[in-house]
Amino acid sequence: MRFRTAFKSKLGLHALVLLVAALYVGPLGYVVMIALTPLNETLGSWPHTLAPGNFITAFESADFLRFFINSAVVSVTCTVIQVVLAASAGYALAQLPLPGRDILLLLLVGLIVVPAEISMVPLFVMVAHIPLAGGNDILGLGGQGWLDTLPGLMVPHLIGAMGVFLMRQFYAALPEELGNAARVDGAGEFRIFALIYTPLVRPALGIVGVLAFQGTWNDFLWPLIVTNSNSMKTLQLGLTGFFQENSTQWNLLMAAVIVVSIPVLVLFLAIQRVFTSGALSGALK
Amino acid sequence: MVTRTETPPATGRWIKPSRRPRMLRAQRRAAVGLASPAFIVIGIVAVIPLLAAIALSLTDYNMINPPRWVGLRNYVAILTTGLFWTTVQNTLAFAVGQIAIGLVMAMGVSVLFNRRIHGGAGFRTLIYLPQAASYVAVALVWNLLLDPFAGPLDKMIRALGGSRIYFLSDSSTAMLSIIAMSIWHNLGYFVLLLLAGLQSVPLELIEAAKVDGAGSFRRFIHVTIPSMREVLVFVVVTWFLWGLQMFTQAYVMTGGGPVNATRTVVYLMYDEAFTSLHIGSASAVAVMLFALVVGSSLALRVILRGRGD
Repeated sequence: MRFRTAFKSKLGLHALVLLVAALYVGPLGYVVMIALTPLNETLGSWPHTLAPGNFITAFESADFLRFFINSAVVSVTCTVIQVVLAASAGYALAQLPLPGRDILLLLLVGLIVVPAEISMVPLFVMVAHIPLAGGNDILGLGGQGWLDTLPGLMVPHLIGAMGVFLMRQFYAALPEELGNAARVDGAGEFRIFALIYTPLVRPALGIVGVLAFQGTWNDFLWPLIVTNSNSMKTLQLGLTGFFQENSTQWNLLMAAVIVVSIPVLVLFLAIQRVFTSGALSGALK
Repeated sequence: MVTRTETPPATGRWIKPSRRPRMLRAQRRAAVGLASPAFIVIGIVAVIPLLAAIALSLTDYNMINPPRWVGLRNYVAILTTGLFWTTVQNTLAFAVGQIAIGLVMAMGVSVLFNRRIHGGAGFRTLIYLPQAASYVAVALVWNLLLDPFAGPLDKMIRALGGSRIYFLSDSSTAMLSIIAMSIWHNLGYFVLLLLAGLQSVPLELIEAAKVDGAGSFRRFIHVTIPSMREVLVFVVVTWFLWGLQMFTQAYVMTGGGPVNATRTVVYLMYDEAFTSLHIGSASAVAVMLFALVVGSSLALRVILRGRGD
């Protein structure tokens, strides 16, 4: 008797889980099916033959290779810079007697709440007036500065308050004695940071790096406002442009959507154990 | 040099070995050296733009002529046009709608996933996948799903005898469609956070409530929810603030239409700045968005924290 009710409630539970899963598997599977449907077949029914060539056709039908290179250069550069800056500042905030530490921490927490969109307009004005760039004079007037350039695309992604704060949390969880013991042995401060503490927070570096890459790769508003030539577009802009120009070519569009999403999905799957284990939510408190 | 003993003196603070003056100076130097690059960049790309937004909002700057001081004229102009209030309404409708529906769903899914089920880790990964992809990618997927001619939803509705729905070009369904797409995109992240919260609820508390004869629903309301309040507050505030920033979904799915039905505050800011080049009034919109963000996050924290403790 007891076994049967337990079995029944287990069955109901699994039915509900499958329902939730279907809400995700359904659309994802549909996207893959559409992307593999040959161009001459009607969309929406199971394709007679599969057309993996769609992925190549999609990539060739717009300047996607160029967009891919732009996105990759900007995202990789910003990720490296963000991780280095977040690790060094996070360590200083957590393990060293940094003057003004409490105010700086308060600043970080405040900036996490402030949406990036609010700074976009003034940042655009600043980037347009970078002195001696893009035809500007020493006062930043006359040309277009870093507008429509790769450095311009990078500006808002050079640092993330969240990354610095996360690194600070991870470094703060390590014991102070570690550094003190090394100091007694005569190790320099930079060595203690780079060779003793930092290897212990490697998963955290991974998290901050993936978040930085994902944020830069997936960003839409800033590339939209800072670029105007086709050759400076990122993948997200390229996707939108492709949709606006060929809105009925769903199979090519979905193929492009898949290719554009693969790097972030692969990165997520690579470190998902760190994400799903709750390490991240612990650090957020 | 005076050597200090490492045992605490009878009175006053014990001076740790690392706090010896010369070492302390070296540590302070290292601290400043390591922290300043990050904080200089933060100053340039985050703090200065915030202050510049306030300054620019008081000018008539248009990227061509040098800025002229206009006082509060931009604010008056925006606050007296209907479009701004429409965008505020749309933004709040989106943020509230997303969290009202999304929180219930995320809570339900995390309670479900918190039970022992086969392949739980796989399901968690599955619903997190859209979150890793961009809003643009997911919005385009939903454009297909909701397409009145090529989309599968239309096929299902018509197979069940319904009539064709123009989800994105009908003003009564456009915002709801964007809400549905956004929940689908964001659900996984908040399920992860809520799951961590559920797992932090002390088992003894639940057992004690069971002994007192509380049913599973009452246990959930009176024991589980209060003991994961911290996580809940974080989820509600974060999700709401994400809602206030909505732009990309509307840009890709509806272009702000039909007839401004999905135009948000950020969309208005974008239009003002980059369609009309009214940098001054765009900055004023940004400052008011900032006020909205700060105001509502403080209000939410007070409301959600205030009760019970």
